[in-house]
Amino acid sequence: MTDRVSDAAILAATATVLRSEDIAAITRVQLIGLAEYAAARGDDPTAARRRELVDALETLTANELVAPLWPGEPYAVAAAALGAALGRDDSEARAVQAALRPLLVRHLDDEMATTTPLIDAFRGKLRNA
Amino acid sequence: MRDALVDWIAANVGQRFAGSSVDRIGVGHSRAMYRVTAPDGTRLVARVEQGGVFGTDSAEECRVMRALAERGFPVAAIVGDDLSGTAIGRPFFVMEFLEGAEAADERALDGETAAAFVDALTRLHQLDPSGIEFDIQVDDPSRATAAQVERWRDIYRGAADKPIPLLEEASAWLLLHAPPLQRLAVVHGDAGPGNFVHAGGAVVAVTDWEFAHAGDPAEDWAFCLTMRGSRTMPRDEWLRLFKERAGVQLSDAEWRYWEAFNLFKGACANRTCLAVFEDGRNRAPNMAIIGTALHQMFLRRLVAIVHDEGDNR
Repeated sequence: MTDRVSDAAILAATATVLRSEDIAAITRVQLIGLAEYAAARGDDPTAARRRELVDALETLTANELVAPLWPGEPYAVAAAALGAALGRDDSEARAVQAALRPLLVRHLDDEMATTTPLIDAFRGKLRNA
Repeated sequence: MRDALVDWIAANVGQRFAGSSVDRIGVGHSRAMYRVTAPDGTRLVARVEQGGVFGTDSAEECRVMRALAERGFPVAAIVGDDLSGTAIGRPFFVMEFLEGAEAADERALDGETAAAFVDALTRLHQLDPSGIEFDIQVDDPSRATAAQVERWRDIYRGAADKPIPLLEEASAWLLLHAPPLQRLAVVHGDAGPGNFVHAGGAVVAVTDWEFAHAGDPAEDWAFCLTMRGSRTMPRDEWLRLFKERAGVQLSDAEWRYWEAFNLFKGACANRTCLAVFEDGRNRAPNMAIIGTALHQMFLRRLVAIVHDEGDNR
């Protein structure tokens, strides 16, 4: 599983909802929104983002907050390093934050750019309706 | 499912409910709510779990509601439960139907009703939480907020296949900056418009207790201010009500902390929806949306607070 909803689950949801006896109007709108999202979102960037995170962590292999953890699962290492950097005011902590925070926020913002239209569907609004 | 529900209610609550009609009410995400109407017109409400959404369960909610009813707090009376999930495939409980105002926007309130809600929340916070069987028991008030941060962190971790670094960083920030707490209170956890029934300017009952716990009342005030009540009244009006009727006055830093806490709670809870959607426990499309778009929206607002603090203190 990634942080994205999978095509398989969307397909299964479509079948489940359409087979149900009574479909609420808002459920219909949400399903349409989900289908439009799936069609428009493009390739899954999970692997590319992971590589970017690995590259960022590779710049921190000498950092005292990362060195004991690296190599390791990159998201777990990033999580531990950012957590450990909080409450510190030193160059090691600042280096971790400078390398990881902007990257992770950009990944989040990029993902939100594709998922934000789902908020309208969640609230029962169809795009271009 | 509806036939099985009616059969169970008839067998366990009363035969008068045999042949009841069932229609879904409300737009809640973690629980499906059904109005059950007996042939003689008597009504009940069934509250049904939706496959682990938000990481909460009906067993704790039932215990809390029954304990609050014993203490005279306005909650709907529970008339039966099947927490095993055997009767209809999912745990549920059945409670009395409460007559209340029906509005196009469930979060719209007049001033009198908003004041009554603030009074009810104040009364809740004044109750002694000892003896209420919350899942997380905390004896030391200074540990209460940390216990809730850890609770929600563990719930998200249980629903994700890898850590979410920005969420983990936020949990560390919340643990580092938790305001001191002198006395434990009963906290609703999802307080505000839409989660209480009202009529004639009075609160008939407070509903939706799945997030209740022992903790800091500031969590509820901030939740109402920045989440549930944000579209109901301007912030200044809520703050005036809180101050005048409940004596609540928090510093800007405290409001910010509790806004961050509630965003963290929401981001963690919402992440469970992606898991239940993906593994098939709940294929409703709102699960996919809450688990992605809403989770990310909460996380982004949380990150803005954590990072804008520049907090290396």
